[in-house]
Amino acid sequence: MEGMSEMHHTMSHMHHVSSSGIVGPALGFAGRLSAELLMVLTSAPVLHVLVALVLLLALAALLRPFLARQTSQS
Amino acid sequence: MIQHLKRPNIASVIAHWGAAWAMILALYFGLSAVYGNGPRQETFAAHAYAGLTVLGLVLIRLFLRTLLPWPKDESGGSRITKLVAEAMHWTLYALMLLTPLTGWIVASEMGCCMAVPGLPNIDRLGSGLSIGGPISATTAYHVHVFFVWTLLALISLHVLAALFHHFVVRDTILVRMVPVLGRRAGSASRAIANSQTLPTE
Repeated sequence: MEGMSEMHHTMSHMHHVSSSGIVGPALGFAGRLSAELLMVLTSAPVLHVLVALVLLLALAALLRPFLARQTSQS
Repeated sequence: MIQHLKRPNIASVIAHWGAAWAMILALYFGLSAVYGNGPRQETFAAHAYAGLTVLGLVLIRLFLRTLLPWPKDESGGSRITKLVAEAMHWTLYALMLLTPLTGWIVASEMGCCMAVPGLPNIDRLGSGLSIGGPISATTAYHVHVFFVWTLLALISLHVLAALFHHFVVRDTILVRMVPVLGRRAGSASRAIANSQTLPTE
């Protein structure tokens, strides 16, 4: 029991040391941000707009040769 | 004879500067809505409209960039520099698209207290498509704020790079996006003003 308590104390101390530095919080922040970024990028509203954007750009790419032909003729 | 394009089409140039002003307004109204003492609801609505203007203008710019020919980069420089510049431009486009979009998600999810007159709920768009998952206002807000500061940092670098090209490298990168500069004296300005299109072959 005493050993457990000692280990808990050491672990708590280690946790305290690691989180008081800049690396721990920075990694935590980066991890949280990456997860939130992924959630936003795979969310329904963002994917719907991205699909609409791809369709819009596909239309522009289809129209491009026609427009180029029109301009070269005029 | 192939026409060698020197300047982007005027609609893209106008959309570029329109988006720049809309972003300044969006930032001003956004900061005022959060930290200011004025009418929060109206300021937030102004922030939302400015952001939606950015979204609309970036869609127009991407459409025009795909539809019409775009002038080639003639600034010289190493391959890595060109790659970084290209990556920077596409990251700016992505952020100009995603920042207003995440803001719109926040406004839609918090409709009860942050209603913007005339703004439809984003969940209603593309409701027939069953792709993607739900998103909370808090998550979208965190990402929105992160995108805003990243966008500001990249815009600062973009402006510094444009000034560096104009004053140090002395090429036509800035002049082709600022039609007024083309009318002023200066070797680079005159070169582009006199040769909007050059015969190359």
